Amino acid sequence: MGLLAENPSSRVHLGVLAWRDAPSLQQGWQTTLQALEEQLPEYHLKVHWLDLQELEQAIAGQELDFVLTNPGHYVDLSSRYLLAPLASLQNSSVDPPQQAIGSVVVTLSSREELNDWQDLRGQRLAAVSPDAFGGFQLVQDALEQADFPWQEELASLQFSGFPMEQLLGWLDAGRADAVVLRSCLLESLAEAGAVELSAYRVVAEQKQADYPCLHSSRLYPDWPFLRLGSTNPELARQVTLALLSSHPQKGEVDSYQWTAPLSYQPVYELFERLRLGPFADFPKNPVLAFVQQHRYWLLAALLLVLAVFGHDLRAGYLIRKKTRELKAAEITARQKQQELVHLSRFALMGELTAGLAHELNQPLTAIINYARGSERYLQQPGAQQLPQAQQLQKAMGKIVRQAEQAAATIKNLRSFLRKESPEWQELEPLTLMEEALEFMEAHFRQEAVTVTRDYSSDLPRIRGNPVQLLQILINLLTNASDAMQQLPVAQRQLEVTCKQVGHHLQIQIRDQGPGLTEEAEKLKFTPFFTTKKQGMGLGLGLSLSLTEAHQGQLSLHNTSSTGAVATLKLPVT
Amino acid sequence: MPVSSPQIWILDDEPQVRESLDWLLQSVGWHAHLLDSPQALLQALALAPPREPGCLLLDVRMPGMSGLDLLGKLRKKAEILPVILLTGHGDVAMAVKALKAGAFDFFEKPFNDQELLDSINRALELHQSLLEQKEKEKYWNLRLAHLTPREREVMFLLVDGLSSKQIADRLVISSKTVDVHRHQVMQKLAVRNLAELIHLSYQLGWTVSVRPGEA
Repeated sequence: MGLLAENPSSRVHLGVLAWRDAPSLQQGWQTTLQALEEQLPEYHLKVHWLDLQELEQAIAGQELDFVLTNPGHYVDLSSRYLLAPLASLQNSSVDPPQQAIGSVVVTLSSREELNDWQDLRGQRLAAVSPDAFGGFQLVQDALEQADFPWQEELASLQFSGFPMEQLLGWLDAGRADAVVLRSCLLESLAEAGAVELSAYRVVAEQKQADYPCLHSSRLYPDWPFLRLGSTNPELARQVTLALLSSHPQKGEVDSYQWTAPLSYQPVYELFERLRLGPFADFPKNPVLAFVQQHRYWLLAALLLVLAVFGHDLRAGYLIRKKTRELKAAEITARQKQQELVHLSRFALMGELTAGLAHELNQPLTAIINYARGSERYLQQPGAQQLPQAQQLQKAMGKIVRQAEQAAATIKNLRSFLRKESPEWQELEPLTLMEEALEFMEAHFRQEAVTVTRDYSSDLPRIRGNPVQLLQILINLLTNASDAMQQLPVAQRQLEVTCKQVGHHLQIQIRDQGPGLTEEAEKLKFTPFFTTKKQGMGLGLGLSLSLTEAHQGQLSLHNTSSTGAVATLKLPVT
Repeated sequence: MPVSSPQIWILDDEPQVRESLDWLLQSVGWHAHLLDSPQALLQALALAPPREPGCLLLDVRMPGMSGLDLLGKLRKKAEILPVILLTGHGDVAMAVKALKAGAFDFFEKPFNDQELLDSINRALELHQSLLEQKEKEKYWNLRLAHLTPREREVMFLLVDGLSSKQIADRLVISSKTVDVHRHQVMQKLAVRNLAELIHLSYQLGWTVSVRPGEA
């Protein structure tokens, strides 16, 4: 041993978690350490009693070959260091030996009301340490699994520190209503005669068929014996053999036996639930954590979505609003148009009758003249010799009367249709003109006619019936537009001028069309004369009648260049 | 007393109306000149100003120039030919317009033949008197032209009612000279006394302020 001690490579460093005071620890691990020393005579075993922090520092400094610590600590370390369990501990103090540890919550047997986790509400709970695996963390997990908000609901949670046995003393002394113990501790103490099992009862007792100890939590694997990544594999193999071949002496308290390594997965899961060890940084709620972590991006995305949604809403609103407005405007326009159409139709009927009356009046006049003339001829002395002179005279008289009656009928009809109540009022000429252009706007757009305006400022007002004047203007605008139908689009230009000439307001509408033919020049105001395929030949006649009714003048001439110009003169007020 | 051979003009763009009117007038022994446009009428009047009593039957509504426009034009030319307006559709406003424009009468077609013929007769009589007046004016204006400027001056003052003495004072000449001028005036104008001279001048509208031939 002395020789070997000189060779540092033959030293084996074992780090052991010092969770109790040194004497009880050494006593506890005595069997294991003895077995190792016996099985590895060529090595010098150096045991380091270290607390949690020192142990980790030693591992980080690569000072250790093997580590012996509780399952919780192992799982915690395993996230940072290469550690592998060579063997798992069995507690042989109970029969049969178990491969698991748990926690038990114990209260006095007199507290019969404490049966379940929820019954701990308002009670004082005590445990050894918040870091104790079997001594607290397992119960913490069980409480949380049972949805018991222990941090709020417990009247108090106290930690006594080691040794764990003193917690029973707290119970007896009334310092706590319930205490957390590692499973099997109570049984061990009872076996040793230190306590009476019947003095206590278990809160939230779990039943597991082949587990002999009382427990309140789930069961987990016991301590592992760990090798590090840097440990010599041959050494590790020999240590493993030594551990597995060691046997505790029967009846010995706190004696241990090693077995093949167990899976520590349940511990990982426990830690994940409790967010301990490697999972300490894991958020309780992964979704919330994700949100928290990416909040700016998410916020941006949310804003983007909101913006798109908002834009969509706004666009929808604007479209609906615009549609409403358009519809209203359309309805107004249609009503106006209908009104105008109605009035136009009435006026047109009057004009039709007037035209008809004129056309019939002339022949009737001629008939009467001829008849009267003939009558007079027949009265002359020479004519009296005609045999039927008297009958002829009578017939002539009848012709006259019939013709006069026809003329009277026509006159009555015409005066009936002319019986309109002209609502005369003072009018702004430009307002009137713009209104007429507005009426024609759709038509102009369809026909691609562009309108240029040349208005003098300070135009005087005129007096008239706005509807009738509009009819005249619309008629003239329509004619001008129709005259340019055959032209290329670029040439379809219509010019409107408004100015004062003497005591008249003069409106001129000029087109670029082919102008008036000689025939049209002569017959333009004649009823039923038209150059349009679908025209009635009453438009200009009607316009002339309406103009005359306004004491105005209407003329239509060819311009010196191309096209025609319609001139409407209305007396100013 | 109906005029024997009046010069009646008919201006209407409708041939059937023109010709039927002609027929009616012929039945009472009148002959008319038929015209179909204002231009034709103006030309005819310019070529041969009417010497015989006549009148114009004019349709109000015609292409080119309306009857009223033509009437205005005739009045501007100091044409004294009476105009009877004929219209297809007459109303009060139109009638007032026509008469204001100087129409002699106004008829709506179809018209009562007798009323129209009576109206034509009255128009002819008016025209005859107008023509006679015009002739008279022409004659006397011619006579007036024979007076010397001084004689004219004396004549106007006489017509205005001034005595020889007053005239002499006004013109700063002797009464005797005034009497000489006065005698000349009487002789040249073939009036026997002052009363006749005043009557004549009244008929012709001669006064100091309105002196024909001196405008």
